[in-house]
Amino acid sequence: MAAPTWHRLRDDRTARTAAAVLGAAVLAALFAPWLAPFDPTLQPDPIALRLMPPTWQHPFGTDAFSRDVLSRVLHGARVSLGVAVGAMLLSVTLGAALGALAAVGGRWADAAVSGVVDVFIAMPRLVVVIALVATFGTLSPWWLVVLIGGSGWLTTARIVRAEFRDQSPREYVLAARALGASRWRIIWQHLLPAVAPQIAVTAALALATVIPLEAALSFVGFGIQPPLASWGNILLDGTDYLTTAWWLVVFPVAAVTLTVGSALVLADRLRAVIADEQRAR
Amino acid sequence: MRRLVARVLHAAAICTVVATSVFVLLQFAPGDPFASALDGSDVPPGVGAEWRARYGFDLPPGERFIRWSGALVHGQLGYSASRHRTVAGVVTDAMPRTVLLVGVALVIGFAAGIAIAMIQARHHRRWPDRVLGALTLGGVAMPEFLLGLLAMTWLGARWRLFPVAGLASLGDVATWPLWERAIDLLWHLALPAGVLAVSIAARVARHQRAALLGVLHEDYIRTARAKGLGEWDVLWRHALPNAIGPVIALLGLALPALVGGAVLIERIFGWPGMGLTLFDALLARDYPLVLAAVLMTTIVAVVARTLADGIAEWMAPHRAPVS
Repeated sequence: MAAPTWHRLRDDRTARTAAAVLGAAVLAALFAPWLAPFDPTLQPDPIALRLMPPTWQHPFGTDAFSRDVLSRVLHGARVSLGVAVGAMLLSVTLGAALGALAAVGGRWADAAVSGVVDVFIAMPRLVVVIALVATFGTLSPWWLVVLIGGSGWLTTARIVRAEFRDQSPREYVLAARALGASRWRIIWQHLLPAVAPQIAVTAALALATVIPLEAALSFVGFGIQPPLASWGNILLDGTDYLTTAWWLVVFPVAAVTLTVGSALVLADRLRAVIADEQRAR
Repeated sequence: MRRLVARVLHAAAICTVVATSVFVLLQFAPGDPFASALDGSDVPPGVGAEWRARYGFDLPPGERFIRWSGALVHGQLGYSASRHRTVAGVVTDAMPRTVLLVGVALVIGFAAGIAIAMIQARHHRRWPDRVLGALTLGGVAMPEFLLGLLAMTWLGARWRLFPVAGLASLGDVATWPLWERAIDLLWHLALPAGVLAVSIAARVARHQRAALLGVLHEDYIRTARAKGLGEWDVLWRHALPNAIGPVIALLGLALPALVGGAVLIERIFGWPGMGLTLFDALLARDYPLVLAAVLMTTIVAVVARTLADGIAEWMAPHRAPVS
């Protein structure tokens, strides 16, 4: 049922480009220890090599501690993308499960899930996450994943609930039910595959919101703590040298913008493909 | 009218639940405003307890909640130990600044976004559409605070076109004539509001372009063209009124995120609104003020969203009743 959607997405040139950029970022993160020319925490010469503009040896320049910015951005990708992908997976799984529960679990389950979604979707997520992290002390990256992912399931739940309710009365579901399929079987074998493209859209959008969220948290000093590098705290290090060292700001900003942009494009193209299919039906 | 009442009640219910849950969460928070001053080993035992009792920090959580929510109904939000004044006073100072920042950014960003989308729809699939499409994608992909940093680096710090921090110039600004003070304020507002406006414009433009292209196939558009209307007139008078409602509703959904972005922008540009208040309060462990800041930013988001929903419904095309 869903396979043609993926084929069509694969044939879309814009989507392929975006997927390639995202894939390259993920590969860079995975292979950072081998790709990075230096140790990201190495301070070779804090006097002579301090705040060096980009050169052949240091393509992204060096920071105030003479650390290589390229190596820090690559290692930062590990942390930033790792937290982002983890939080995205958590929020999408949680959202899909709770959305499905609301759609097929009866009136009370629906009221409970929808009520929670209704209230908390109105809160500025960034404000809440910052307040929580700052109040309860700085957290390890794992806890950041839990907190960011745990606060992001609302939109997925809403969309999955709506899609499930849209699919449930259709003939193929009725047929499965008539054949005696259990509720679990219907969810796993029929409903979930049918709405998988829509879940993928929310996953891409979740990635596009979670990357800036982690960057923002680390940027205000409540997220990833030094010496561990993340895109957000490289920026934080750079804010003291805005007038003198542009390379400390530009490269992490570019990293965030490129990954977020390709996730957005991917979501956009997938949505267009889904809309095309629904029109064709 | 009944839907309006229902909507206001809904918004009020959201704020109540949010206030309660934030209060409950903060009960588990470590430390209080006295911790740094009175919990040292050089303070005689009992002194800390005495001061906590004086400010009501020794009461059980249930009683504190009843007192706090009772005071809230009367417009009191407690006492801010880090600022030595009432929380309500801090909020009345900071809130208008945040509303000014977000309001100016919303108006400019929305108008610019509509204009960009009109140009894109007018020149669909030609170079103006493509160039603006790439720019708006960049505007959505780059989080506000990153754009803020770039704007600060170049427009502020390097080229010195705009001030990078604060509300007003240094010196005896208070003695300046009113209009000079207003211009000074706007000049300081330029970077933070401009950055937010760019983000909003990019989001609005992308939604509005899609919505415009969606209605351009409709029969009434063909009719308008057949009447001999120019393409701009068709877009402005026929396509836009029918395509703008969903965009406003979508903007309403995005508002909580925009308020979150504004909080960071305030921090970067030292704009002393609710966002900066929140950061100061967090660092000082001034929980009544944290509570108020979270609650107030939520209320701004909820109110703005309720307004957006109302406007979207009001703008939605109405069909004449079939007789």
